[in-house]
Amino acid sequence: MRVIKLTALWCPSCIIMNKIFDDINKEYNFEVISYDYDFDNDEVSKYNIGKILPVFIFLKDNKEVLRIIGEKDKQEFINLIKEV
Amino acid sequence: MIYFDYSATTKTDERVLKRFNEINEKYFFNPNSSYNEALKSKEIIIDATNTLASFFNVNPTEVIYTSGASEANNTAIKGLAFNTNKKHIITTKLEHSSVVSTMNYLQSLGYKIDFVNLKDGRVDFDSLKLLINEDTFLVSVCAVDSEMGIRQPIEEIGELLKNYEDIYFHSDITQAVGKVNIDLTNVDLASFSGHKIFGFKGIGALIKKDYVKLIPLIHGGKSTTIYRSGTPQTELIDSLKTSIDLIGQDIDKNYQYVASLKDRLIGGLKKYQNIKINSNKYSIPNILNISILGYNSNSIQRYLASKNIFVSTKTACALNDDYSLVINYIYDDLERASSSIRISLSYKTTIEEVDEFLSILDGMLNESN
Repeated sequence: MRVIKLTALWCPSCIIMNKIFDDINKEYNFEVISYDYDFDNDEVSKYNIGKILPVFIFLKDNKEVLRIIGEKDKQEFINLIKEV
Repeated sequence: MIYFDYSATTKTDERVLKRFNEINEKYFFNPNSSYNEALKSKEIIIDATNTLASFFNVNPTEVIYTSGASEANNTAIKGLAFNTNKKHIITTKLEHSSVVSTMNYLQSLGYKIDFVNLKDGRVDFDSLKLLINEDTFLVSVCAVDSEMGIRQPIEEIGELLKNYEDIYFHSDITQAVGKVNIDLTNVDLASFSGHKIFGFKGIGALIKKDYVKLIPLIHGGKSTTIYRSGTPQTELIDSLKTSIDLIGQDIDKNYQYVASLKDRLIGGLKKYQNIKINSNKYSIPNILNISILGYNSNSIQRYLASKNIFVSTKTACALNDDYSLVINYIYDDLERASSSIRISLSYKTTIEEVDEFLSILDGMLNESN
C-alpha cells in the first residue's frame, strides 16, 4: 500500500501524527509520499481535503481505500489500517 | 472604525512615528562607522538597549534585536537546537505558528517534539515533569497565547526547570509585553515584537541570558550582538524603546481599565444563551474569545467588518478560517470551535466602542432571528 501524507508546518497535530505514523510505519513499511500544504499546493489540491490536517490517504492499486484525518492515538490509527 | 484586533497588530503610535522621523533625520548614519555622527547613532542604540534591559530587568548584553517575534522565536529554538547533541523539546499546542513551524522543521531533522498537557488551558505540571527526560534541552511555552489569551505560569515553569541541568526555558512573550508585568528571572530566552505594542512591524527582540549559548541564524558583519548580523537599525531599535517607554509606564492602570472594558463586554453578552465565553479566568483582559453558536466564525467576522468592526478568527490545523482547533482542543466542542471569534482590546479602546460593538452584535443576532 502507498500512503499520501498531507501536512503543514504550522500544524501541531501534524507533529504529533508524524511521530505516531513513523512509529507505525516501522512495522508496515508503507511507501510514503509526503506533501506540504503550503509548499506543494498543486499536488495537495488534487486530494480534495477538508478542513483538518494532517490527512493520510491510503492507496491500494492506486485507488483510495482509507483516509485518516486529524489526530488519532496509535492504537486507533492501527485499527483503522487493519480494517483495510 | 472599531478596531478590536489589537492582538493581531497595533497602529503605530504617533509619538513613536514622530520620534522615528527625528532619529532618521539626525542619526541615519551607520552606527558601525567611526565618525562622530555615526557614534551618536550608536549612542542612540546603547540608550535604547539600556532602557529595554532595565524594563525586562536583564543585562544590556542580553538584548538581541531581530526583525520581530518570528525571527526571535526561530533564533532561540533553532539556535539552541543546533548547539546541542540533545534532541528533545517540549512545547504547547497554544504556540504561535513561528514556534510550531520551527518545531515541525526540527522534527524533520530528527528532533523529538512533545506537547505538554494543559489543565484549564494552562501547563499541567505533572504532565511536564513526566515528559522531561535526559534528552530534553528546551521547553518553550508562550507567556500568553494569542487565541484564548491565557496567561501561563512562566515564573513557576522556569522555577521547576531550574531543577534540571541543561534544560533551557524559552517563552514567546509577545502577547504579554505591556499588558501584564513579566518576570524573566527564571526565563532563559524570551521573544517579542514591536508592532504589538504600538511600534513598528519589522523590529523585535530576543532576550537571551548571557549564559545561554546559541548558533546565530543570520551570519554576517558586526551588529549590536554576535547573535544576529545586519546593519543595526538605529531608528527601529529606538522606536522599540519609545514603545516600551509609552506602554511600560502604566501597565497596572491599563490592566484595570481594560479589565473593566472586558467585564462590560461580558456583561453585555450574558443575555444571549447562544454566546459562550471561551476565554477563562486565566485569560488576560485584552483578549476575549467567544463563540456565537449557530453562526460560523467567518460569517460573524464578515458581518462585523461590514459594520466597520474588526475582530479575528484564529485557526490552527484548520484549512478554512472557520474552525479553531485550539477551542476544540480546550473545550472538545466542534460547534463552539466553528463559531469562535477573538475580540482583542487595548488601553486605547473606549467604553463607547464597547457599547457600539454590543449594539451592532445585537443587531446581527436580531436580524437573523
